[in-house]
Amino acid sequence: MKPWQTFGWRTVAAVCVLVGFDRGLYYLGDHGKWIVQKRHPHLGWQMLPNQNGWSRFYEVRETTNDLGYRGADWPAAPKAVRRALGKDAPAISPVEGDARTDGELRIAVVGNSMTYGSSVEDGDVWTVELQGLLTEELRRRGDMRTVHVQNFAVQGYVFEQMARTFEQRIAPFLPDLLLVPNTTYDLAPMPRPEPSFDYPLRPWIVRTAISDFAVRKVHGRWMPRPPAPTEVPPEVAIEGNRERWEAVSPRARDVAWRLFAADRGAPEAEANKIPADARIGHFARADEDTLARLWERAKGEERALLLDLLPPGLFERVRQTVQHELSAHPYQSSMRWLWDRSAERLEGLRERLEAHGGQLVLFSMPTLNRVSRPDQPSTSAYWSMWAAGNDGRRRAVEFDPTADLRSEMPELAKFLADPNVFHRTDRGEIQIPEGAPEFASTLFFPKDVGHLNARGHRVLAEALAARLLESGALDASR
Amino acid sequence: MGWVRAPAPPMAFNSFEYGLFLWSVYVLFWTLSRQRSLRHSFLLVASYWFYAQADWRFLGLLAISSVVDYAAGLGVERNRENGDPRGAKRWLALSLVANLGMLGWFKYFGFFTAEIGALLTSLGFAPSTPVLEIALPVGISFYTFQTLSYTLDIYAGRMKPIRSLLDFSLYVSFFPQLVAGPIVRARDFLPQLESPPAFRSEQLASGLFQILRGLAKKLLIADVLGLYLVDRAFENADSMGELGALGLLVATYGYALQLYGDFAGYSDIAIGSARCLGFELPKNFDAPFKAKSLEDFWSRWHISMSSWFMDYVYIQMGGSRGSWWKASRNVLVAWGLVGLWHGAAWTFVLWGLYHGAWLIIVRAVRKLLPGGAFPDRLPFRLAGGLFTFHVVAFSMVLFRCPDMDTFWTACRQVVDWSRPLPELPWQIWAAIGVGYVTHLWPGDLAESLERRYVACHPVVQGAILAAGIVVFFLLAPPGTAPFIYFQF
Repeated sequence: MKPWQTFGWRTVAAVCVLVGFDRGLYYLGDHGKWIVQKRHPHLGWQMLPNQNGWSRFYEVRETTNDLGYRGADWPAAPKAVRRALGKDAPAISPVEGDARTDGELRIAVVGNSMTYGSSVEDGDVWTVELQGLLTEELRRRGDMRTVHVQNFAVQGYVFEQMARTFEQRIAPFLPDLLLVPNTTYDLAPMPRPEPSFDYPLRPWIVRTAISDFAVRKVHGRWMPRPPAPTEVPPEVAIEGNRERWEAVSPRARDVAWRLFAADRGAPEAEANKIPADARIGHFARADEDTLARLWERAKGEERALLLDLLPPGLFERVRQTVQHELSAHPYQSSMRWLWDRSAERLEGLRERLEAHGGQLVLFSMPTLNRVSRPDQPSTSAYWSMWAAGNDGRRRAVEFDPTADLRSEMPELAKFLADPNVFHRTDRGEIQIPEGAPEFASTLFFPKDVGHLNARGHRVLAEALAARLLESGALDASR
Repeated sequence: MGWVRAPAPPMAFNSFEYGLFLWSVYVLFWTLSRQRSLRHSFLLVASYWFYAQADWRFLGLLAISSVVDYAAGLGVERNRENGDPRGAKRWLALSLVANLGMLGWFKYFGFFTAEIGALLTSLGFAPSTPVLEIALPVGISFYTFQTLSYTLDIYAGRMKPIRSLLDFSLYVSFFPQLVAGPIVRARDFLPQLESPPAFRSEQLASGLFQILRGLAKKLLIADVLGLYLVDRAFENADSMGELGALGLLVATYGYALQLYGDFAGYSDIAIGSARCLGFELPKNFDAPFKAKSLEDFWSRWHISMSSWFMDYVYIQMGGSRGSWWKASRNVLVAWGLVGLWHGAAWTFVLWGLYHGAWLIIVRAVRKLLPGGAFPDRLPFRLAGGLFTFHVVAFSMVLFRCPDMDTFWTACRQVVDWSRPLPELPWQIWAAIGVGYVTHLWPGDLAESLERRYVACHPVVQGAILAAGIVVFFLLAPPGTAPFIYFQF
């Protein structure tokens, strides 16, 4: 028997066992059918491309396109996109040339699970509905442009990730409009990507039923929970200090140095004598406790500048604290720095967008809390002022469609204004009680009040279409 | 301040990518098996590619070490033949300087400059010692020792130099043993390159079984104990201070088994991988916790390293010849160097000296006994085994503690019997139980299983291989934990 023949039998048998086990778990155990994500060094995480599976909790079919975003492949991929994305570029018939064609209206949308369409079918996501509504309305008005609404939303994204998505993924598409839905949740700092999370071949392995079975049935239940990540040892923190110091802006360095010198008890004049180049020598040796004290000492904008200088362990603690405070008191003055930080970032996106004739559209994403409680403040309170601009020139179109949704479920909204009427599960989740008035009219999932149901997506799309048409942002002459 | 950064992890033997790599190398190697230069060139390229996965920048070091010792081997031999011992010595010196120089620079330079700086500072001076943070090239301690053994063997007349640089480079860089041993002697490996490899189905089956066995040790024993028990217990002085004597005892037993499972598992996969390609690597572990004495333990644990130090350091210094003092000095020097070989830290040096000291004590006690040995009866054998195991296990505390502060805290825990045993998940007890029972099983359990596996039809072998991999994958902690010994 020849070597390859002998090894061939073993290989064939091994492959058959592996495939048989995997398919058995898939068909008999419903494993490996879920849409999964992978880590991304810059975006934090993103969906794996070309998936067709069920959303994890609601047994609804979802697909991702060849760029890893929700829904079917997009019909146009300009050369610039292919150049920018390399091997990840869509493998579909591209529009030649970098400029937009006159016969097309390209609308890019960023967002998180509300826009991704968690728990609704591909065709029910509001971005798809919006494309249909706008196409119909423009044709009715004699505008024959083809409307493409490209949904770049990824579950769990905060604003920083949406901004990076624009820079890395959307900008090469040269969109006419960039729609940015906003909630207070989006203002939280972005979690730092964990480079150790991914390993070679993970994109393939993680899709298998065996892997899914291991994660959900074995590691999640049978094996003890892995210990919490250990604190970063001081020498690593010192090494990281240097790298982070070199990565931030001179303004951030100035702020960090001032706080650092004050922490050491050095008078400002004396601290300033040390040349800028030599400061890293001192700062690099700051341990985590020192950096935590600097963070406590920092106020407002200083915090925004200091954030990127924090070592991983401290950063994560700070991020969670900020997220907690943000969900409790998003409009308090102590949270202002987060709003201003996002505004500064958005300004950069706007300039880049407008350089190619695009326009920014902001809208407040309706949540059940705001739909049912009109007295609650809206993100529009901040963003409408920002969008209006302070030099007489409008920065962006901004609106809040929440009232449109409220009008679709008026009785239920009134009922849900009382936080005590919700049903609370053992795990602390809140649900809309089945006995609620006009229960069937709900635009949110009764058992997942954080997300719109298919009807909610439809109503939101109608509201957005109406507001966009009203605002003039879609005018061909713009 | 850390002066040596841990090396970048190489392609782990317990990863899927290594499985694919090995399979691809296997298929191509046996396809090329009839053409010697092509076969060896291919293995060399594959080995360099494997090494480059950790850090391609250090490929140069690997090549330098190969070329220098290849030339040194030829130089030593030529001068010996010409009756010029001084010339032979010069070539030997070149090999020693090159290999120990590389090792010293990358592994010990920062350590010694920092220690000298600290000493001078304590004496009231203000030295300006350079502070370097050097990345440690992966496997440097292993391949420099391999190449050194080659030149030393030629110098001692134990072997002839090889004429082919390709073959010698392959010996140095052969991927299964490149990163963490076994430290293969040239006189064992190079003859295997001479004749074309003959494929034997039993050899392949045995190789695959070794790989499965290694994966089981690594994933089911070492990784479970490491993640859920040892890493927590030995994290720092604070975590150590919470253990108490009972907790320390369990953590120590756990660590002994983890270290064995990790390193012996690695060696098994290395030996199995080489065997699939028709090469035999030396056995590196032989049920070490069955050892009845400390000498017996060191003939069973990391055999390739301990025998290297025995042959090239201890015996060269005179071994046990001469006075008791001289022999004891030789033992302490050799074991101090064994400790230092493991890493640039005083804990490693102390660990080595501790073993050396015990070897001296045991020998001294034995000399006092009638007949110069302990009676060969069951109670004595059992007592000897238990004593040896605990001497070794305690030394592993020193080996594992990240700093001396943690070690002194561990020493204090030995007398603190007031704390109850920390609550541990049953999986840890299962790993400890299964690990020690299979290890101490009378006879060689693994060998008899291997015989049965090899006797199976290839289709059954393939099915068992796949089923084993799936089960290990399911039961192992999530993620790919790197092997402990690659950092040495």
